[in-house]
Amino acid sequence: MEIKIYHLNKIYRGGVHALVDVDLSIPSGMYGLLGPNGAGKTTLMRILAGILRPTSGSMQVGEQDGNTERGRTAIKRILGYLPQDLGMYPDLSAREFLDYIGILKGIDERKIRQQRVEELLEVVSLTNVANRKLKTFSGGMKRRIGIAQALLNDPKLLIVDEPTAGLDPEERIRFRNLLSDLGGNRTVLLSTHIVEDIAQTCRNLAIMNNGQVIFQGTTVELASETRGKVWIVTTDGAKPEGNFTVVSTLNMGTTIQYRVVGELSEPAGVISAVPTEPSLEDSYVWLMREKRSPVKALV
Amino acid sequence: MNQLPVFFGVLKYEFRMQIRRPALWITMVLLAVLITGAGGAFRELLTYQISSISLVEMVVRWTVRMNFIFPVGVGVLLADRLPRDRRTRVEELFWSMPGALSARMMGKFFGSMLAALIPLLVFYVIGTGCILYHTQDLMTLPLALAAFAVIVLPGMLFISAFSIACPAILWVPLYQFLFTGYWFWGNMLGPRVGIPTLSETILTPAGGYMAAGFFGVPAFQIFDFRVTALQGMESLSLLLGITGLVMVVLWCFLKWQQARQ
Repeated sequence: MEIKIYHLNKIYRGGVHALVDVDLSIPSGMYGLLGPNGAGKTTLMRILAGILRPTSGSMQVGEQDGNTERGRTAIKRILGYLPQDLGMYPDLSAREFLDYIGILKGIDERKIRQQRVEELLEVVSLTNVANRKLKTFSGGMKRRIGIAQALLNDPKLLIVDEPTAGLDPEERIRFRNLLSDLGGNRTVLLSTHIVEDIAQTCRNLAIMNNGQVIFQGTTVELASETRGKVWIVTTDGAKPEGNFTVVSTLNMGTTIQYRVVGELSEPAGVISAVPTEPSLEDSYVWLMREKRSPVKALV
Repeated sequence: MNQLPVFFGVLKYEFRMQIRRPALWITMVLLAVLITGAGGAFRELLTYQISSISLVEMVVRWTVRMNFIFPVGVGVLLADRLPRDRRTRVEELFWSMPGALSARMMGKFFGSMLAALIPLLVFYVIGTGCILYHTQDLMTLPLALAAFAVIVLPGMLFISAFSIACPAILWVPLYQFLFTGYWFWGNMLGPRVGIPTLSETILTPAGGYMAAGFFGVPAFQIFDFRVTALQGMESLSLLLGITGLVMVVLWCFLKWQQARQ
């Protein structure tokens, strides 16, 4: 199911221009939305989920027109949403909370709803603690309940906003694998500022900054733009100078290895400078650098 | 999408969450103790003389006691139900779902209110049981049911609507404070003490007009025996009408608030 967004703008009270003429075409499968904090990702997610109205622009989710009340209600029926700040009633048990959400999602038949709740508790490995109150759950467990509630109505569109924020590495990997399994026959929109989450799960992505989409395409396309701009620079200790961003530093004992993204001149103290294949993180850094300098559009 | 299951589902879970609150039971038990101790309610019931007053008057007097101070507890306990959704951050999740705001709101209203009435009902049933024990008259039961339905329930619906709605714009503790003040000013104090109040009007949720109009038993500031059943009906209808109006206004306000975000 494809999502098309045309000239979307969102201006909050106080004049904050959160989305600036956003045009996006999101195909089926896993789709990443990357950008720094304040880029407009959450605003875009909330508009897609029907929580916010855009100031102007339009969107189409499959056959549904997201600009009408009817269209928005129809989208909500096929939507699963995991918000950035996931809220729950602390005094309900996990089972009760999921049942409650199932009712709000229109799963009227009690037996079907209960079956679905049990299935999803199993998927997120929380069956054993299903009768415990949510206030006793850890952050990772709450996130898993969050994804379970998003999947209750077997949604065709799944929107997950910063799903791995605050999770430990093991939980993060578990979550990523879970999301990847879900991308088969639905559209999963994964919004995050953690590049690795996108790198491990998405082929297609968009990058946002300051309310604008500054890139949309595949990870391969993005990497190809960055080829020749990523270097492994080894020095005798001094930090190399030049028009680049240091992405990582590795102390090798007598030398120091820097991974840099940018233009290399001929800095002093450099023992070697070897070009290397860019990762998604390198490509992201390169793109952000380009956007901060006079515009060199990639889109 | 059929919204009735949403309404009943929300009602069920709001009821559960409210009934499980220790604050509900502590508050209501304390209020029950206050009524029992201060007004001598149980002493009156336990020493009931069958010849002294009629069954109707006894039942209605007992029913009217429910509206002395229990409504304060109900109003205070319901005041945090709507802001709680924002505090626990479930509000955003609910807005992304197809369950209609109207169904959610009414489910919250009825579920929270019914749960808050349970301790009161228990207390009421105990008192009614005492009357039945003394009179051995089974008419006590339908009389008690009718009296509760027309004297207590309309007022409870009225104050519950305001307690759900007003905290949408007022800070909860401020509302609770103002509501408590309103209850005594608007129901207990009469113009006889030199303060203009709503106490003798058909707008009072304490149920005085219903007690006097339907059962001929004066209550609160309604001491006039010429109060008719029609006036009782007017008071009841006004309370129910305002309840509906408040909920509609709340719905409109929440929709407007959401749209302008």
